[in-house]
Amino acid sequence: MSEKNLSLFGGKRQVLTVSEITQQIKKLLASSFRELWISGEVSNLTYHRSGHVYFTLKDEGSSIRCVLWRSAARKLRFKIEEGSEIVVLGDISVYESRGEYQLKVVHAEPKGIGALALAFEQLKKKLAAEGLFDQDIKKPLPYLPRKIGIITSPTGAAVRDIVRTILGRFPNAHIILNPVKVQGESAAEEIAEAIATFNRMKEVDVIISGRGGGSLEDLWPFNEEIVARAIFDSIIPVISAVGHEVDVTISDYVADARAATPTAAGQLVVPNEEDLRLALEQLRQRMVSALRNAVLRLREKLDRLSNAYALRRPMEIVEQRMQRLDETWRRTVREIDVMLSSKRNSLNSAKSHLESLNPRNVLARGYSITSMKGDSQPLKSSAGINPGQFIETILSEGTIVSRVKEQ
Amino acid sequence: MEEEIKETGSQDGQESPSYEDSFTKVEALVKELESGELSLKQSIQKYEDAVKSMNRCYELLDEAQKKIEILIKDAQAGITGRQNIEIE
Repeated sequence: MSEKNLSLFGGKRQVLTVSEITQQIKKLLASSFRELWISGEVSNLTYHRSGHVYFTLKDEGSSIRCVLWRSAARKLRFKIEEGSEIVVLGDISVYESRGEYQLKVVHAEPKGIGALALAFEQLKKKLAAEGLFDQDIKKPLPYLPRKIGIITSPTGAAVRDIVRTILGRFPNAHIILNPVKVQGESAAEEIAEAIATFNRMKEVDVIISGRGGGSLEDLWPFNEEIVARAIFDSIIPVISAVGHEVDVTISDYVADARAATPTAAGQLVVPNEEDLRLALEQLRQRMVSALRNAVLRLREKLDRLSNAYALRRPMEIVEQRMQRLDETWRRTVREIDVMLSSKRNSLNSAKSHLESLNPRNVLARGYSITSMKGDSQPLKSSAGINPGQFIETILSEGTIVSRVKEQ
Repeated sequence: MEEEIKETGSQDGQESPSYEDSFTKVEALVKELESGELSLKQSIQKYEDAVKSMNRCYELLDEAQKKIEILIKDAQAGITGRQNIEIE
């Protein structure tokens, strides 16, 4: 609890401790200077092991200590460099133990990004309107390029990543590197000239143009109009591989294909040789099977045809006809036979019937025929016959004449 | 075979067929062979054409030789030469 002291001379002094005054200063500064945008030049830059970044922002007359905590530092899209001009967003706070005020930075941007970002949007709009970004004018990449042209810095990770990726997929690739500056003054001119050179040489089938990651200023050459137009004018297909996934440049829009990273460019530009050989082998097996099956099928067809043809051989037809003729003859003979035997049977029965009616057979069995003498009419009844009349009896053998005695 | 088997490649003019063209051709021929609607003569002809194109594919793969070159540039004269390099 502190006592208010309005006067330094006479009266009671209000004596504060160092901490007390420091706290007051701290509160005052904190409440007065909040969320400030401040620009200046970076000096005394230290990237601490902890991940926190310490630096001084200064201009001609003054300087202020800054601290960027690790959490905020990680979110930065660029690297703060000694001597660079930046713009920061932060709060003023007091570092109590040293009695220093400092700027707690929560966000930083390179200075002049406003200008660059504006230039980017303006060029993008202009070239889009001219049709440089149209999909249907983009050229297809060669499936298996015979020679690959790369336009990038001869040093640095990008070229190594691209080449390593290409050779990993296709070990016998032929690569021609056209070395250029990839940032700073005249880099854009060099890159554009390199694209034109490859087109004049007419050697490579595809061009990769790019570089590794960096700030917007670093990547700026790939946003320049001269490079965009060189890509557009290129007859050889161009793959743009600039920076990282998040960095989209004007080159990316104009190019025939965009690779998000140098490694991706290597994957895009060349197929995997093993995959190609595997596909060829599978196709070869299909080919052999297809021919074998085709021949088998034709053989079957031929066999079927020749079987059908055999049935139509002339002799076979004749033989068949003859066979049918025989059948018919045999049938007819059988029918006649049947007919004959039935006729025979009826004849036989008629014959025996007739035979049984033969009077001589009757006589032979012991019967006799009697008639009036001189009359041939056999007698059936004794009526009308008087005793003393003469009758004639025919026997099986012989005849007897008799006088009727009585009836 | 009464028919003459035509040479592939010579009819394209200066350039021999690319890998993609040759591979696509083999695929198409194999599909025809698999369709089963060809005569014996056609089947054999298509097979031979397919073999030719497939050999072209293998040729392109086997002929490739690893080479990494860097262009040597002069400020005034432009490209003055090339050099083989190794990239690690």
